[in-house]
Amino acid sequence: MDSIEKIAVPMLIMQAISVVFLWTINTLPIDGQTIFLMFLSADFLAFGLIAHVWLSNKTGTPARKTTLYVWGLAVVVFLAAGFVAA
Amino acid sequence: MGHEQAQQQEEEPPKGKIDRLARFISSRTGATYPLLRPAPEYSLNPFYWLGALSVVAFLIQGVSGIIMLLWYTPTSAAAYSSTQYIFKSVYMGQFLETIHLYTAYAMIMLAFMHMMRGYFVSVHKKPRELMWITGMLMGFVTLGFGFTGYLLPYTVVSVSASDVGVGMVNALPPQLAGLVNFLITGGGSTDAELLHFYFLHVVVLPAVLLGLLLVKMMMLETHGVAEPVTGSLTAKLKRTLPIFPDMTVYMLELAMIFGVGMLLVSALFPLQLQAQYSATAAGAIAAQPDWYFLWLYQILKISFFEHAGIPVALTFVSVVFIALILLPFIDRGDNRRLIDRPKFVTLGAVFVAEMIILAAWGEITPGQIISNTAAVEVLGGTALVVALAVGGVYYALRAPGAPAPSGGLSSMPAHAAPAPVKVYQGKWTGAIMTALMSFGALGMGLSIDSVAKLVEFGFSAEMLTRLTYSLCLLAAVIALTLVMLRQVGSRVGAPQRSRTKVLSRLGLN
Repeated sequence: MDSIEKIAVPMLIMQAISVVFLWTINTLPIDGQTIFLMFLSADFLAFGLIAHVWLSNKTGTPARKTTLYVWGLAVVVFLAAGFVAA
Repeated sequence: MGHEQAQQQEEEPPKGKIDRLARFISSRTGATYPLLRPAPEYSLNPFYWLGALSVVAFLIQGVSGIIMLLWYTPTSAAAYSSTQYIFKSVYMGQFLETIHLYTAYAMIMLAFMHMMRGYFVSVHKKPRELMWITGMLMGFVTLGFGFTGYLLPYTVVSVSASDVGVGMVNALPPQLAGLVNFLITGGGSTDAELLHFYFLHVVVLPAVLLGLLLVKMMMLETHGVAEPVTGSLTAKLKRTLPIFPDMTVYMLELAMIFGVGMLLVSALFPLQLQAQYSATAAGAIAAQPDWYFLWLYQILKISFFEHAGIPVALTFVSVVFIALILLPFIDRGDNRRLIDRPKFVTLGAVFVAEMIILAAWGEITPGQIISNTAAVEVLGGTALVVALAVGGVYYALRAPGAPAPSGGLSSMPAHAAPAPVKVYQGKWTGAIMTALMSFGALGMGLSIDSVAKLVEFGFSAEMLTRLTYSLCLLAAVIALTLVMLRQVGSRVGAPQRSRTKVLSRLGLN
């Protein structure tokens, strides 16, 4: 697997799980909306991370490891926050 | 590049029937021709995309606004109750209201940052004069969105604030006031006024903004992205990337990060619907516009303008904005470098500082008339201090008698060639310095105001505390600036330190 696939595959699996979970949330009360936003944020960040790695490879400027770790951690934090709140 | 590639592909003989069919479709529909020209690699920088992010904010507002239209009723009797219904009975209703408001704030802030960045790096110069003017018009339309949208929930705060704005229109010359009043308020009744605001907000202004955006994009296609004025432009950075998929993916990456920011703010600070409008409730509050009009409101509250009348204040503000619109014809010449434009850089820094000070001051003095003395001390003091600070930086960094280099970055003379720097370092250094300067201006303004109040009203614990806090802020800014300057120096390497390299780090050459 190249570096894009290494990032993209787990991110896409995570996005698929969270999107399925999104449909089970009752978004009428404000708490439900907050959980929805946590999962949606994780999805957006995951998409952004895939885009970042893809573009870094394309332009020949390797993505910095710190950036990738922080970005990945943010995805996990949002996802965990969503599950905890749910 | 994309067009050339597509043409080259067409010139090659077709490989089989499917290829022939694909070429037929492509040549007749133009599907494989990219719509927009490729962009240079140096534009892979968030500061180049502030305007695009503003458009993203507009799109989010468009989507959330259209969904809310399904339930909103633009009549004075039902506006509040329909808004309340969206809040309480529609799935994700509160989120829709929240994200609509916060993206509006973000759009205004991004548009302002886009304008000021353009001002400092001189994107308004030849051949982009009309792009600047179009962008300024788009900025006014953006403020129009804020003004017209604020009334729609029909809360006590929104109606009172809108009344202040509508009241200002009456200060215009009678014939013009009548026309503008009719266009905005529609003849006087509350229903007509709300309907006109609604129509302007959801039909007229979006159409105008999209039209102006189209015009600006056409000009961008013609002139391309402006070259950077800082850092070294290597061959790699000059290389162009196709708008699809490369630049589109970068735009999506930024849009995702921006979207997460908006979602996070919406989750942490969900909007609460304020009380319904009534004459009694309105009488109990000090009418105050939203933060993006506070600077204007604060100017109107200055005693001099209170006595001279709103027309004088509006004329003063109009002159400033007309000067900004016509900037390409005032700040002329080909030189875009910051180091060679001390006059305009100082004016820009003073303008930003005054806007921040006026808005912050307006926030902490709702409904209070500002004495002429306080206005001169705070605003004049801010202008003086910022001008001296910027002047000091120029004095320190410009070697006496050094020949003023002409031309843009590409025509930079050999002796001024900066050391190879990573572009992101230079950009972040510039951004941090700008932030420090803004906080410094805030600290100075508050200190001057506190001293003025202490002199005027005598010593009080509250004023002394405020003065202490503002002096602490100022001291922190000075300390951080010194640390920053030291870091900049050490990053370029002490043994090889030279004025040119420090200038390069600061983004001043």
